[in-house]
Amino acid sequence: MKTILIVEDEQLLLNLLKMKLEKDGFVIESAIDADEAFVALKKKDVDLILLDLLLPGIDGYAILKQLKADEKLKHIPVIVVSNLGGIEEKNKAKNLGALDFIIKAEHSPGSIAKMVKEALLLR
Amino acid sequence: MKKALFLSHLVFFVIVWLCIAAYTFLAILDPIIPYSLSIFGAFIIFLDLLALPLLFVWWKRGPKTIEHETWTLLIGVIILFYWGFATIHSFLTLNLNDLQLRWTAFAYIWEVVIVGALAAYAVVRIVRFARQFLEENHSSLSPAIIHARIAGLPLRAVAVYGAIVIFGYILGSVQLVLFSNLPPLEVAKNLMTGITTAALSSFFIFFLLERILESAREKSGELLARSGEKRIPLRRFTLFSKIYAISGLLALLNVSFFGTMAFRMNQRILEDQLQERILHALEIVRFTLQNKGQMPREEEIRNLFGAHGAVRLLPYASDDPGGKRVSILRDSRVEVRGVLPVSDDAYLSAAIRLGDFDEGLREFLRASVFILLMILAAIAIIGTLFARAVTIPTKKILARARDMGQGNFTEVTGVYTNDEHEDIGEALVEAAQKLHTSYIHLEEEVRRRTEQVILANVKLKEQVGELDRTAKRLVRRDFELQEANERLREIDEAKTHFVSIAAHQLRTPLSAIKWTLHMLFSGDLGSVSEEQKRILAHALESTARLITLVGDLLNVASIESGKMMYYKSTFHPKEFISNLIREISPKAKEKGLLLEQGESDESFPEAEGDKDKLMLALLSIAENAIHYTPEGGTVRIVLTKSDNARYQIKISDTGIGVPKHQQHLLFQKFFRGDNVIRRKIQGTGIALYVAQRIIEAHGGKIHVESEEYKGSVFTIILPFAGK
Repeated sequence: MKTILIVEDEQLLLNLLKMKLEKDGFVIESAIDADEAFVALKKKDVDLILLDLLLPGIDGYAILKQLKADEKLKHIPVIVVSNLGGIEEKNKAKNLGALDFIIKAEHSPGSIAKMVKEALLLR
Repeated sequence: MKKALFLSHLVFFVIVWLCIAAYTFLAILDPIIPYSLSIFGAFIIFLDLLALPLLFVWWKRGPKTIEHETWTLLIGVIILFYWGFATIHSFLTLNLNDLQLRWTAFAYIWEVVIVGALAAYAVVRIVRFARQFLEENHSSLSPAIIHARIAGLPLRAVAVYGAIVIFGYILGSVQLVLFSNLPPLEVAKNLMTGITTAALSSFFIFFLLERILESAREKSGELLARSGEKRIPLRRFTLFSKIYAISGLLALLNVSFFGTMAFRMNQRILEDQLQERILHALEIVRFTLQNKGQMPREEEIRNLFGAHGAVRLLPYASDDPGGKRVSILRDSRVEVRGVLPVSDDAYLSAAIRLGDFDEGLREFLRASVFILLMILAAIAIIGTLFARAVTIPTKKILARARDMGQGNFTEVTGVYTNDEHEDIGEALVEAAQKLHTSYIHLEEEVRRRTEQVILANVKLKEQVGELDRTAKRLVRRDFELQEANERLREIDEAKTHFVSIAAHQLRTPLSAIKWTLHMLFSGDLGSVSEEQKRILAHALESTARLITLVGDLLNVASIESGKMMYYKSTFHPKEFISNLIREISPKAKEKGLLLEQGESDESFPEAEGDKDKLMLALLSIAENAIHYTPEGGTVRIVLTKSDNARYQIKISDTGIGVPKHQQHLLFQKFFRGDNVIRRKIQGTGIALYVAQRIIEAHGGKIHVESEEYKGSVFTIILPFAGK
């Protein structure tokens, strides 16, 4: 049973995604900001992180940086799921170590679930 | 000129001197001559001795160094004294009868008064003329001319005066010879005396004139040309002062020697006279005795033998056998004794005290002493005057040097001494003038420079002020620019922020809607019926359209704001096209369209550009092609080489095309052709605008050929890398 951490501050989106992924058999941990995220990470072993960029407090980039700097956490694949739409954002995330970068508006929970499965299979 | 004067005077003096010397001797020998005249003789000798070297000095040096007023005054006083004394004394003591005396006196007086008056008149006239001449002319005529004109004046004046005086004396002498019983010797003496006085007084006049001229010259402030006049250097002057000293000494010697000699001789003469007198007196007494039988009265005895004289009738000593004779005894200097036999047995014995009759001698003594004292005084005075000849010019020069030191250059004038002092004076004057000029120049220069400096300073200040103002302006401008920059930056940031945030803000709710609809559609939120599914599908379509529109709008915003960033990379056109085809083939399949790919066999070099943006552009065009082509149509994508520099992508479709009259508007923002609007085909009209902008940003071109109902061909030309 794979655990997915979703870092997202929009409740509706979080719920929808959670619903879909749980349906697909994942255990979901959620966090709305960096503090909750790191608490959750400490609490449990996480297999994948879906990371939003625009968050209250420190943004997703910073979290990503921190994740990749942490010895215990840097192995966890991170998919950045954001509505910030530019190539710059994509490259930045990729440079910081994200596995992928997807735009929420261009995907659906189903397509995201698919990507998650693929990413975990790859591992 | 002066040489002639000097020579003439020298000749005169030699003659006069010899005459006077002879006269003195004669006076000594001649018993008639009173002692007083011999005193005058000595006096004349003194004057001559004194005047000779002085004459020499004056000739050589000119009437300059010595202060002539004092000097000539002294001479004049002496001469006047001499004249006066001579006149009065002659009047009183000359052993002449009344007539002779009167004539002599008259002659003297005549000379003194008339001749003197004439001479004085002549002198005054000449002086006045000289003064007038100098005052009138010194400004307009050159100094040389002035000097030439007046240089001869003193000489002329003196010649006139001397001639008058000498003529007067000659005349007087002739008069004396004719109308008096004066022996010729006396007349000659008189004449010689006159000539001497004429010479001396002419000197006096001469130097007075020269002095006046000199003062006039000094006052005019010009150093008149003295070229051609010999100068006496100071060392010669010292020679002359030695000569003077020697002659002074000689005069002293002369006076003392001659005086002593004269005194002695006069004493002998007196004694002889007294002896004669005694004899004569004794004879008178004898006569009186023989005739009147008694001795003369006391009074007469006193007359004959003097106040202290005595006469006695003495018997011979009885045993005197010899002849009775007159014997004159010279016992002592004090008394002269005489003996005269009266009878065979008595004789007269008389004695006359020298003291009763030596008035002349005493007078002579007094005169000698007086002369000696006068000589000493004269030596002292003249010595001082000689010394002053050096000290005064030296003081003058010192004063001028001091003036120069003080910076009073205009006060430095010449020193007119006709010797080295004058040279020094001239040098000082020159130096003073030069210094004065250079001082003036320096002052002028300094003033000019100061003015320049002040001007420059003023200019500098102005410039500094300008610079200051400019600097202040620049600072203000800089500040303003900084503020403007800040604002621009803020606006810029805001723009960037807007574009990215807008994306996020619009997409977030859209994502929520889409995901919800999707979940509903896929039954994740509960079962849905087919009907529901259909409706949901429409909803999803709208949502998708909206999301696309948002994306397009954001692209437009990006492009418009200049915020569209192009990230250059190199890619292979063939690969690029493959990706493109891969992307759109699902969509084409979905719509039931045939997707064809065409590609040439040529080798393509690499292309340069923003791969993603170009992909976006081409996708937009391809999607457009798919969108506006009805089911069963064909979309064809062909990649070829346009030329060596560019490659070409042709996207053609069999869609509804673009009306001909609107083809030129195709790439405009929000443009939608009439045909598609009519058919209510959805579209935003942005895709082509964005695609064109992106392509043109890469240095490429896009154009369309279209025919309604037949289809459209979009031709995109893009450059290879490095082109």
